[in-house]
Amino acid sequence: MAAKAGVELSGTFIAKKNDSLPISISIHHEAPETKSRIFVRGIAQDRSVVSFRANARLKKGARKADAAINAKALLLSQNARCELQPDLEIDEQEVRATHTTFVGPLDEEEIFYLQSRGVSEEKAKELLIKGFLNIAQHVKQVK
Amino acid sequence: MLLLKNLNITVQEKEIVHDISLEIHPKELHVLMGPNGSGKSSLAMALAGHPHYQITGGLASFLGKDISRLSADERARLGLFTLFQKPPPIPGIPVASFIQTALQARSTKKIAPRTTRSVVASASQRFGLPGTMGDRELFVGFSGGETKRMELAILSVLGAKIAILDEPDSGLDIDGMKLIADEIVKYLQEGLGILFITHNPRMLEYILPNRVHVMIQGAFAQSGDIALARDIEHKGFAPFMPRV
Amino acid sequence: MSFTPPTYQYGFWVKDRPYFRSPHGLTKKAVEELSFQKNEPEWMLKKRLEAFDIFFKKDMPEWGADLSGIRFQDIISYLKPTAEQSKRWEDVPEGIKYTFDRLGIPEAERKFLAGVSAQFDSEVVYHKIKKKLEQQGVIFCDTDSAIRNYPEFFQEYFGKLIPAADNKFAALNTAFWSGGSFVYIPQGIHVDIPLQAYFRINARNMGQFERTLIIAEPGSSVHYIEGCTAPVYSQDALHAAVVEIVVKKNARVQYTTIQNWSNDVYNLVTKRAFVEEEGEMLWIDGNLGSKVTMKYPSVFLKGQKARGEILSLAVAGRAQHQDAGGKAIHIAPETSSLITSKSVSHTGGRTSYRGLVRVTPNAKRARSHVQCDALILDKDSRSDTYPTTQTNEASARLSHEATVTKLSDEQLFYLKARGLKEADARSMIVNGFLEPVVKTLPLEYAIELNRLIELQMEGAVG
Repeated sequence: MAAKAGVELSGTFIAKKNDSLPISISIHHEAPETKSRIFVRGIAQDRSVVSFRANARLKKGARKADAAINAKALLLSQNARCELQPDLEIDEQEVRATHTTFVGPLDEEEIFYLQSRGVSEEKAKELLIKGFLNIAQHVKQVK
Repeated sequence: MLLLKNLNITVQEKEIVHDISLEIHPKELHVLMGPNGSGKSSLAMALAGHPHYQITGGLASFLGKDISRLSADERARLGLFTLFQKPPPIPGIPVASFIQTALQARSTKKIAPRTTRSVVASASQRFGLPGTMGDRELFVGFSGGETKRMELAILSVLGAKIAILDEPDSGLDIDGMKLIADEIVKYLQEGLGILFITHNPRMLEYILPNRVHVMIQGAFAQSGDIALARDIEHKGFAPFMPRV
Repeated sequence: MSFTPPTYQYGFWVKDRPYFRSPHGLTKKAVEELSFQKNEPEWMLKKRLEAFDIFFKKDMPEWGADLSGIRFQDIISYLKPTAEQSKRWEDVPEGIKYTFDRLGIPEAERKFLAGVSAQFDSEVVYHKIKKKLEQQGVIFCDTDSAIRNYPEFFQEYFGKLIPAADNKFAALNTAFWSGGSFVYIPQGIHVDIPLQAYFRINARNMGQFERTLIIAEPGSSVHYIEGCTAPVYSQDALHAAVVEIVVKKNARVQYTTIQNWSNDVYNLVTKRAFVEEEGEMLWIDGNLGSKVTMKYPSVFLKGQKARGEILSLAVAGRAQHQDAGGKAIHIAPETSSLITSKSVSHTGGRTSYRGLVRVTPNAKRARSHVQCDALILDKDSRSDTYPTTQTNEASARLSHEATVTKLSDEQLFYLKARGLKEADARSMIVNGFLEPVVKTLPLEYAIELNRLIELQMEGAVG
């Protein structure tokens, strides 16, 4: 990769029924001042299986490289499964790398709040899921 | 004691301080004023030995030594103290541990932790900080006022021969300003030389400088005495700006 | 087979135990000899032999650190019931002696640590502690004695948490284990002094294949400390220990390890705790030494509201690879786990965080958070994180955060501008970085640990 190059990968996934969704992303930083952002949001419904693998490698020579992986998944059914593996391999000192992942259900407090404002549970969940997934789109627009 | 002669300072290949000349002797108070972005803090950081700043011309000498040949810690141990506007938080390190290490770096005799604790306690009190300050992580979660007071407390504990105070008064109330003024008077009596950087003329109601320098766009536009400062108070920096 | 009559006392539990040497190497006969020397019951020999077969069948792990340097045949050229080095003080490497000096460890203790002399005051300390524990019904002794005196515990628990088939090194340990601790805390008893392996006679001569079993009955609590900060010079190139801990209902066990093996040792350890309802397990794992360490203390949260916490600290210098982390397996509802990893790599060292959080179906409302932070101090060093999250339960909330950074220029400059020399400034920042884990240690350990890390970074310790 060329110096000062940047990559932004923003994705949304929706897995349903019997979907098996392996997502594999590999980013290699080889030149100085390169930047990568991986931003993923998704939901897993029914009996789907989501397997998210990201590998960010910051090799020697990638001075001042900056890598960030941010992956969050909502599990919406009891039979859905999720596996997250955001690996970081860093061989160069002057870098900054972070990753953040989260997997879990919709927040009960948020659902309850919407219900207390008159929104049905069904609708509340729909709203929250839309909001959750929309973030990826939102980020793309801002950039 | 601190001698700057035709000093040029460069950061990231851009010269930001030009041709500065200045002499600070013991017991002298010099005030450096200028609008934001004029290079005052850059000068302070460069003298302290910040790695991003290079001396690219002229001479900076402290106690007869060329400081461009000295690392930041060598300068500090010689007695050059620069007050930071925004010192970085150092998580996991209590104030008392930091002071202990800093004191020990200046002494070949072993300093007892008990001594450090009492020194920190009395400095905290003097500078209006809570007694528990010794246990707090250095600059972690400190308010602006606490940060300034802490830096002043550190100066009083570590001591110095030349102190460069970069806007120690910003964010402090009247009591804080009076406190600084008292400290400055005390230090001058003890023989320190002080370079006080400010863009707040109010501070000068409490202290009387030997010299006042006005810095505009990286150079000294003018030097004078307290009258110069009063001029600035009334007319601002506009008269000193270069003609467009 | 040759016997070497004891030139020292092992301690009160073993009067004339011979110093066992076997020319048989890695063979079934060696296993049989070992068991015979220890006077073990038949069922233990059986387990050893089964494990022996499993060891040969099992493959080396395909992941993790580079283990290609291990020569199994060389490693087991002779076995000791508990490893005791008869070494001359003059043979101890300079780097080790220098460290003792810097850490202020008195002469006699130094010789003991270097395995030169077995005479040590710890016997007196041990007796005092033992008396106190006996009054509470607490059992604390070495595993060898425990097999003979309390076989029922071993028949129930030995190999149940970590079966020989778990991994190649667990199999090796199960076949050749010797030494280690046995701790039993009866119901409702709280042991207020930390039990230290140090206090077990001759336990500081870290056995090559130690086997430890801790059982905490309901409502009990104990803190066990293994290892010490002073570097342990070992003639053995491979250490493969196994630690099994049973935390019953509402009990609490804390297991603290500070490992500082010399830099030619492969340290491959399997540690696992089963935690029952409302029980709590806390692993504090400090890895400073060894050439390669692969260690992932784990908690199996089997009972409702069980809680597990793993605090991992790793420092890797020249030619070292610390591959560490933790595992949390949530099997029951309302369980929670917290994994915190702090690692520092310098002078070309490599640290890897490897962790697993797995939630099985019906572990309702399980919660887990993993925080791993790594500091790379120079351009020759390396850091990796391999965190795995697997969930099968929709109501579980699992989060993970990792950061990798270098030393902040701003922090370094500030400290230098306050008069600290470069090396002191770097140490201070590193100590501050590690503080969240170090502060959980008893004070003397914390102080020694900080000093040791400083030393390590100076490159004074080889």
